[in-house]
Amino acid sequence: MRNSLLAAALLWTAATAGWAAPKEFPMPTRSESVSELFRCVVPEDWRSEAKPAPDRGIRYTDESMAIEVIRYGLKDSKYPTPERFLESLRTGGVKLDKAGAVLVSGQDGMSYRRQYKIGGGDGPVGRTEWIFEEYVVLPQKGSFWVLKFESPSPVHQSEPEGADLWRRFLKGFRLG
Amino acid sequence: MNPSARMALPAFLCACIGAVLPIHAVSAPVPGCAEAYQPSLADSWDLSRESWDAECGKGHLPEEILSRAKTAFMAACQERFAKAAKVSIPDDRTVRERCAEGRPGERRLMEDFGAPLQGPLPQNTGKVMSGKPTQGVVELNGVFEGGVPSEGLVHRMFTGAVQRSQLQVGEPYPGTPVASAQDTALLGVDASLRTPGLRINSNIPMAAASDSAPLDPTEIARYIRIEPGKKPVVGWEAIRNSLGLIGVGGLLPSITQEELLARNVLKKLQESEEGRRVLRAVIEEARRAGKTVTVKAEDYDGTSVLVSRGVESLHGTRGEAHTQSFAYSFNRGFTDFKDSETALQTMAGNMGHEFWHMVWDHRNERNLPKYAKALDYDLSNEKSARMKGYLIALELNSGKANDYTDETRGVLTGGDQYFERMKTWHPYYSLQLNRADMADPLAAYQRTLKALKASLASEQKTLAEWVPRRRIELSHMEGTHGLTPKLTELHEEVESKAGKLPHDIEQSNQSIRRVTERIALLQSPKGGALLQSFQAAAKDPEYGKLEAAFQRDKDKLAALAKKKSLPTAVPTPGQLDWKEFDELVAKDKKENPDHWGTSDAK
Repeated sequence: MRNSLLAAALLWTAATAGWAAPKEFPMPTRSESVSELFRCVVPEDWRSEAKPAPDRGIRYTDESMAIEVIRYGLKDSKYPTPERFLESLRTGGVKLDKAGAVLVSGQDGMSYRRQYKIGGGDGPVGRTEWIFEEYVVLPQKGSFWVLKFESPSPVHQSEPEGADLWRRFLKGFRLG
Repeated sequence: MNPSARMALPAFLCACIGAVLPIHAVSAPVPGCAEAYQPSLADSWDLSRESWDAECGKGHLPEEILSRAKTAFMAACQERFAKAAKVSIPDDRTVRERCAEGRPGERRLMEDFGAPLQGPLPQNTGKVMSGKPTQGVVELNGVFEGGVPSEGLVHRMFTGAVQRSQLQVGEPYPGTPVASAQDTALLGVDASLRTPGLRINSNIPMAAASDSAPLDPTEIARYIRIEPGKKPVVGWEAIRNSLGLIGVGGLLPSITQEELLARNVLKKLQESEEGRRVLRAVIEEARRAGKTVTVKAEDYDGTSVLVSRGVESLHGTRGEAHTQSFAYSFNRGFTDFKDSETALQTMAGNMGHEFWHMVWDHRNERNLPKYAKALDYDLSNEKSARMKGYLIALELNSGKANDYTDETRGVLTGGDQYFERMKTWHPYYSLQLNRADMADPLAAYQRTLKALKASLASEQKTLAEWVPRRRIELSHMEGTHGLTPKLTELHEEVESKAGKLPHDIEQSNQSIRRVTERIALLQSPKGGALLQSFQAAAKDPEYGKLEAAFQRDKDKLAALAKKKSLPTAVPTPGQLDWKEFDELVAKDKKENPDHWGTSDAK
């Protein structure tokens, strides 16, 4: 299963010439173009993993932080509207904060943040972590894109690890 | 056949000994006989509809037909096994017990000790109905050799899809009819089989026993032994009332707090459908192993019971299971909870979690012996146990948040990533794999290694930067701005992390070492067997059932959380959270920049 997903990702993802990484990335980067749907720049050593249908997308990760780009709202989508998607983020009573408008790919997207605890038990076996997540929702022709950033931490973070990298990713992201 | 033993057989076995003790004259078809047939009988007992109808036509009662079919099946099963047995041969009793469970038992027997059953059994040709009844009696006596049979054994032997006879030890359930005088006369009740107060009731039509039906407390007492504690109960009546314990014969002056708590947690488990399922399963595994589950309290270093945001929590190891010896230890700190209901719900979740480890290990060692190596490193052991614990705690929850409801939120919100993160939480988990990982374990371990290194870096940074920064900020806001009373919980959190992070860092280092060694092993010829075990497990649909079972429980948990809605911790009045605190600090930095240096408060 994993092999086929990776194979799909390789087919689906192709490096493009001419797409330059923003200079402000603090590490070596690579440019990605996904089926001419979007282009972006990610750290060179981040692994990519395709997200299967119906809501196709891709996850980039260094096995700790991750950035996902997923398109929802098409046929058979799990979330036909942004509202339904945002509702799903509030599952279990986790608070979702509106973090304001953000300019991505030349259009205004709305960003949302949440931070929640996972794990538990502070004994020798127990471990608690906080997961910070930020979502940017970008509407596009009867569908919508969700760009997601996640970053784990041993403690609650006001400024999560990798936030700077995320902002640079958003700056370099282009639809189409 | 020993005549006195024959006399001991209960009424629902009368059909087996029909040749010796005529039950009633066989003549016209019994009304309702044909309708009593259930298709599952064909698979369980090789009893076809045609055979059933033919026997009904001869005037036999449904229970007679079933009993004779079972008798014949047992004989045929043992005969088949005698031909197929290979490698290690189980004792006769095991063969008889398994055959007495019907086709599923025979299948396990063959899988464990013989050639696996291929395809359907030979169709019933009428031989079943013409089996010699006395043979069944002989076989049953064989099962009973060596003393009183376990209830579970008797239950399995005499249960069928049509009728379940109920066997009880001690007082009957309220409303349950007791065997009639005529039944008793027929039964005889042999001294060698009888235990004081043993009652056997028959002819009570019931559906097949559900795995979540309440357990007989005597069954629990027989297989689960609570060891004495060391904290004497003070004010027994008050505690009894506060815990809702139903008195058993009045005061129990010698009981300790630990025993009392464990006893009430076992009762609490019975209030949860999933708890009953786990209890039944662990008792079944202990019975198979000829062991007793022991429950005892332990002292764990560094344990404390704290209240934060209205949630009373045990900081420290909650409990642990030694699966091979069926030993469960729980943290004595649970007896220090002020809120006894929270203690009961939390510990019930933990007990269910740890009991499930026992079930998982023993069940899978038996059912998937060729994957012993892969099973040792299968993350679904811990994943499944967590689901059981969370399900139990949520089923028991009455609307007040506790650690388990809090953790359930994390599991459901974190999705698959939760379990990936889990690999970084402890050296033991670091070597665990999801089934999908097993197809390419080397790549999976390399991903884990990367995640562990990132975790270690984050922990070191938190200890070196976050802890001192927070201490300075808290100290400034307390000292200069008089916020001490509002920052108690945040202060405790910082100090708790400061105390725990060195331990976490050491564990992350250990994990890194272990995973590095594992990668080297898999890259060497010595790791070939382990590699093959993983890869074979990844392909085998039978092995895939472990992950599927976990997924079902996870879906069940999500549905339950939606239905009941997870309770949220109530902020302690007057206490700030981090967001509010950060806003105050940012405001102070802006309004009083002289209070702050470049990175520190003055």
